[in-house]
Amino acid sequence: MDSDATAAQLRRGVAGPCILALLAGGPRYGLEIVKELDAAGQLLTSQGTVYPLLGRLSDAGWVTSRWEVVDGGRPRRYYDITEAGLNELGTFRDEWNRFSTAVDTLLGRPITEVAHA
Amino acid sequence: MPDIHHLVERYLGHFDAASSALPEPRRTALREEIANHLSELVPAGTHDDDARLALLEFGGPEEILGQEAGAPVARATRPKIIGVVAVGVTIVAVVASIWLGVAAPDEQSASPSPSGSHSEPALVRSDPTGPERVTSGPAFDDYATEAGELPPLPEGASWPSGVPVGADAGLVPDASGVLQAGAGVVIANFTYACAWEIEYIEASSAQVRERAEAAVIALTEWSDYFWAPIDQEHSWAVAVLDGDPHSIRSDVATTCMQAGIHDVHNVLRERGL
Repeated sequence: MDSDATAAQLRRGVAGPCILALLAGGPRYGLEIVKELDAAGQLLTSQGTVYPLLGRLSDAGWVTSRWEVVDGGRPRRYYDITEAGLNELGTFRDEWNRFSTAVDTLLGRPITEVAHA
Repeated sequence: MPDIHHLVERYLGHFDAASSALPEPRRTALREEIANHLSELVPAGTHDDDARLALLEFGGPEEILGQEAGAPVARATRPKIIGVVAVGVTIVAVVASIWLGVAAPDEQSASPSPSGSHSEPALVRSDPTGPERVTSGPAFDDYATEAGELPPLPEGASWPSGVPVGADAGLVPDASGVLQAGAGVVIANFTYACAWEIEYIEASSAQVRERAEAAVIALTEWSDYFWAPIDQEHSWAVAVLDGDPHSIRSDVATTCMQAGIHDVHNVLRERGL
């Protein structure tokens, strides 16, 4: 199993919900989201892929966005989570808890026990 | 475009060229986001090394557009053919592998010139097939500067006299009909690649090995110059120059289209190439 490919697949699956989780704490712009995802553990395959993800979250109706001009004229697009986005985040949290518990249970077993189960 | 780092400008030029298939208004929105992000991440005065690192971490246009399409990013799994420093032995090996492929007797339908001389009019010339060209504006200025910095075109080819108005491949004219700044650099580079890909096809068909080798070396070095700052995987070189001898033939029409030079595929076919 290619560990890079595995990590990329995992990131691809969780990056969207993680963005929703960040936005549940308040509006953020793209670079801010990238920095927080990086700080949490490099949850993007590369920084620029945050924008296609945000586009998909927007298409799904889970986030909205608006332009604001800050820092003496610099435009920034701020993203905010919608009610539907909060519901989606809640659903994902429930699924993730069940999923991660199941995986942790298996991964936590000694290797010999797994091999002979 | 003031206050923009030259490597960011080049990156955005790549993005424009690579995103032509993306529907509007999504393409414009995505470009706007990326341009704002990079202008904040890589201010105009940033050292080139730091800018390259930042752009590398940001990800190449192809990777971002792959994510936009919802498809896994296709990454080259074959070994790189070149590093940041091109290795002569590797280039020779690539030349040999491509040459052996194109020189197979059952692949050629043309009647090659024994001398390999340039008997047909050049496709890359001052007035190439394609849209009308303009000789003023920021795109033309960028084009002229970049063309002056690139190595020479192959024998018989010459730089088109201007940049195309309203060229496709995502190069969008502004309100005055002049292409956006950054497009000129892209057009110059794809013109260079187009000319050398045609040179390779003509030379390999005519079985003039020296010319074909020179073309592959020119394209390899160009790839290192043009793609390496934003594409550490050397995806273009791996896809076009490595392994499959037909890849340059497959690539040439697209490359020339990015330069605003149209109908190349048909002309080459008419010439039996």
